[in-house]
Amino acid sequence: MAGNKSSLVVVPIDFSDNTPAVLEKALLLAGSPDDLRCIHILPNQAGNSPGAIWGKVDNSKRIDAVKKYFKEHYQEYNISPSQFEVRLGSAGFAIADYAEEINARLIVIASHGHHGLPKLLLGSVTERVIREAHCDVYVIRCPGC
Amino acid sequence: MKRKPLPVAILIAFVLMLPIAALTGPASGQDESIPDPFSDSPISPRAAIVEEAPVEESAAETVAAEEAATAETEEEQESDKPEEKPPTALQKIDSVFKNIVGLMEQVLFYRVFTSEQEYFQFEATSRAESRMNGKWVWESDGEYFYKEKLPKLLKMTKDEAEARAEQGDLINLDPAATTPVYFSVEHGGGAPIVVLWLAGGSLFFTFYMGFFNFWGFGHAIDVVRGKYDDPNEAGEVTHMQALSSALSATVGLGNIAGVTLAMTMGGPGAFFWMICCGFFGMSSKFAECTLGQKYRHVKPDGTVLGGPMRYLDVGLSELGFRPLGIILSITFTIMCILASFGGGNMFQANQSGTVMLEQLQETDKKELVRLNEALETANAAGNTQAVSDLSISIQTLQERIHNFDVNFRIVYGLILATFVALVIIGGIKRIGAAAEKIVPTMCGIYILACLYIIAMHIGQIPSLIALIFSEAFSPHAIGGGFIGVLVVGVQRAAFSNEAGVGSAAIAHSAAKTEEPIREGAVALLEPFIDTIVICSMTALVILITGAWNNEQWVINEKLAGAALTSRAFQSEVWFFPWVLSVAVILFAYSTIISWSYYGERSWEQLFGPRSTFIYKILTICFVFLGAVFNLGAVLDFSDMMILSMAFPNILGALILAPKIKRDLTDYWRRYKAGEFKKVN
Repeated sequence: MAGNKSSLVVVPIDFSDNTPAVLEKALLLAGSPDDLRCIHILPNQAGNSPGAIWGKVDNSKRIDAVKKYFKEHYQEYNISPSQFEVRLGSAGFAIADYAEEINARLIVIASHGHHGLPKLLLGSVTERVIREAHCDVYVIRCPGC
Repeated sequence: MKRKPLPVAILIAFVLMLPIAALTGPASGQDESIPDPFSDSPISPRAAIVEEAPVEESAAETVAAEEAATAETEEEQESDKPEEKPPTALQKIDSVFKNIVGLMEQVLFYRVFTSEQEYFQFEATSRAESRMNGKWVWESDGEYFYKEKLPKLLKMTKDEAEARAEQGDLINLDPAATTPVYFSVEHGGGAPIVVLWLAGGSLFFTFYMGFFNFWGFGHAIDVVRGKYDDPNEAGEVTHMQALSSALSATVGLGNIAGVTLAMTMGGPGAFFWMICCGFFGMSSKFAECTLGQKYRHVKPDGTVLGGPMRYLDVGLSELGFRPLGIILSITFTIMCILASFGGGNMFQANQSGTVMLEQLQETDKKELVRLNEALETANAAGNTQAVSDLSISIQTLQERIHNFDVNFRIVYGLILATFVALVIIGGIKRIGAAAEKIVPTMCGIYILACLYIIAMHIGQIPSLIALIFSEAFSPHAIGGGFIGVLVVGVQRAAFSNEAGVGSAAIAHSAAKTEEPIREGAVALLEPFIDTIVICSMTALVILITGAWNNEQWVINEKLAGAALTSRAFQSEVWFFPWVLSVAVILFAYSTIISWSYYGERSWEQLFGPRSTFIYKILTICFVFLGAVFNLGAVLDFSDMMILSMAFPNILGALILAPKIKRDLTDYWRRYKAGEFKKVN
C-alpha cells in the first residue's frame, strides 16, 4: 500500500491554538517543506445571514478570506498559497478525501480541535479522520488538549 | 477520552421533547373550542377574551382574577372534549411545559409596587354589562365603567356607592339604579418585574449616555445613508443592510396585534407611554448593539459571530468577571435558541396562517353566525322543522370550516417550511433577500394605509391628542390608574421593539465597520422605526376609528389583536384587510429567517459551527409544526424565553456600560474633530 504513496503530508488547519504545534510537527515529519499540504474545511454557508441575504458574502469570498487569513497569520512557516487548500463540507470526511485525492502518505492532526459541546454532539474530527483515512495518521497529543 | 453521558442525555431529551410536546397539539390545539389566539372567531362566542388573547398576552396578564378565569376556561375546555381519555405520556409532557410556563410567568411577571385599590362592581343586569379584556364593564348613560373581576366581594349600600361617585371614583352613577352595588379592595396596579427591568435598563442607558438617542439621531441617519461606509472594513454588510435585517426580525405581529391589545386594554393613554418606551428603548438598543460590534468575532472566512453570547463572555472576562460572564453567556445562548424555535418561528408560522385563514373563511364564518342566530330565533319560536334544518346546515358548515382549516394549515405549513428550507438549507439567497428587501416596502405600504385612514378622520386629531395626554396621566379607561396604563403601554412597546432583549445585537454585529459606536447609532433607529413610527400608526388607526372602545366589536364580537386591527381597517376600506394579511405573512416569513440566524449563531457559540445543520433541520420541522398545530404551552414557554433573554443581556450591558460611555466620548471627540472622512 505504502509503495504507491506520494511523499505529501496533509495538515488540517482549524485555526485553533494547536495549529502552530501541528505545523511544526508536520514540518519535522515531512521530507521537505514543499511536501506539506495544508487544508481548511469550511462549513457550508447558511442563506439566512445578513451577508448571504444581501449578497455580500458567498463561498468564493469566504475561501479567499480564509486564504488571506492563513497567509497573514502563518507567514513564518513559509507555506506557499498553492500548498493551502480550502474546501467546503464536513471536516473529517473532507480531510480524508483530500488526502486520498492527492495520494498523501501521512495526515498530521492534533488530538483535539474544539472542546466541549461540539465534540459531544458530533464526535471529533480527529476520530473521523482516523476512521476514514487511507493513509497513516499521526496524532499529536498537544499540551492542554 | 471519556464521554460525558449526562449532557448528551439532556441534549437529546431537549431535542426530542419539543417535537413530542408539539405532537400533543392535535389533542388540544385542533379542538374547535380553542380558536386561534389572535382572532376571535364567531364559532365560539361564549369563550371569554382572556382565553383567546394571543400567547404573549396570556403571559402579559397575570392579574390574579385572570388566572382564575383562565383556570376556569381550561376546565371548561376539558369538559368540552368529546371523549375523555386518560392522560397519555404526551399530554403529561405538555402539562410539564404548562407548569414550567406557570412558574416562569410568576417570576417574570411578578408585580412589584402594587397598591391596594378599591373597586366597584355591579351585578350583571343589563346586556351591555359584560367582560372586556378581563375587566367588568358596566354601562350607564353611555358611560362605561371598567372594573376588575374580584374573587372576594364586599357588599356596600347604594348611598356609599353614591358617595364614592362624588369622590370621582365612579362617574355618572345612575341614582335610579336598583342593581346591588358591591365594593371591594384588591391588590392592584404594580408593574411586572420583566417590564420594570426592560424599562429601567432603557432609562438608565438614556441618562448614562446623556440622551445620545436624541442628539445622535442625525448622525445615525447619516451613517445609514452610507456616508461613512468603507467596503474595506471587516464585516459582512453595510449599515443599512444590517439595520434592515435586524428590523425584519422585530417588525411583525407585535406591531399589528400587540399594539391593538395595548389600546383596548389601556386606552389612549397607553399610546403616550408606548412612544416614551420607544424613545428610551433606543438607548438600550444602542448599548447592546455597540457591545455586539465591539466584542464580535470575525472568523477566518470573514463572516461574523457577535451578539450578547460574545460580549457577555469576552466583555465580562475582560473586567475580571469570567465565571459570571460564562454563566450569563450560556444562559443567554440557550434562551435564544429556545426563543428562536418558538417566538421567532412557530408563533410566526401559526399566527400568519391564522390571519390568512381568517381572511379566507370570513364569509363562511359570517354565515355561521347568521345561522346560529336563526337557530336561536327558531328555537324561541318553537319551530321544530326549522330547528332541525338549521342544525343540519350548521353542522355541514362547521365541518366545512373545520376541514378547510385543517387542510389549509397543512398546505400553508408545507409551503412555509419549504420556503424557509430553501433559504437556510438550500442557500437560495434570493428568496431570503427578497423577503428582507420587501419588508421596508411592506412597512411603507402599511404606513400609507394607516395614514390614509388617519387622514379620513383628520378633524379628530386635536381632540385625540388632548385625550392621549389626559388619559396618560389620569386614565379613566383602566383600573390601576396611571401606573396601570403606563405598564400596558410600555409592555407592548417593549415586546414589539425587543430593546434590551439582545437579539438585534446579533444582526448588527455583521455590519462592516471598525467603529462599534457607529453601528450602535444605527441600531438606535430600530425602536424609532418599529415603535415610534409603525406601532404608532396601528395605535392611531385603532384610536381614531374608535375600535379600541367599540362596543359591538370588542364586547359583543370579542375581537382582539390582529382581528380587531383587521376589522378597523375593513371599516375604512374594504380591501385593507387583504393588505394586512399579506403584510403579516411577509413579516412572519422574514422574522423566521432573521430569528433562525439568531438561533443559529447561538447554536454555533454553544455547539460549534459544524453542527449547525442540526439546528437548521429542527427549525424547518418547527415551522411546519407551528403552522399546523396550536402549541399553547410550548409557545408560551418560548415566549417567556424571549423576555428572559433580557435578564442576562441587560445585566451584562449594565456592567459594561462604562466601556460604552468611554467609547462614545472618544468617538464623538474624533467625529467632532473631523477625523472620519465621508464617502460623499
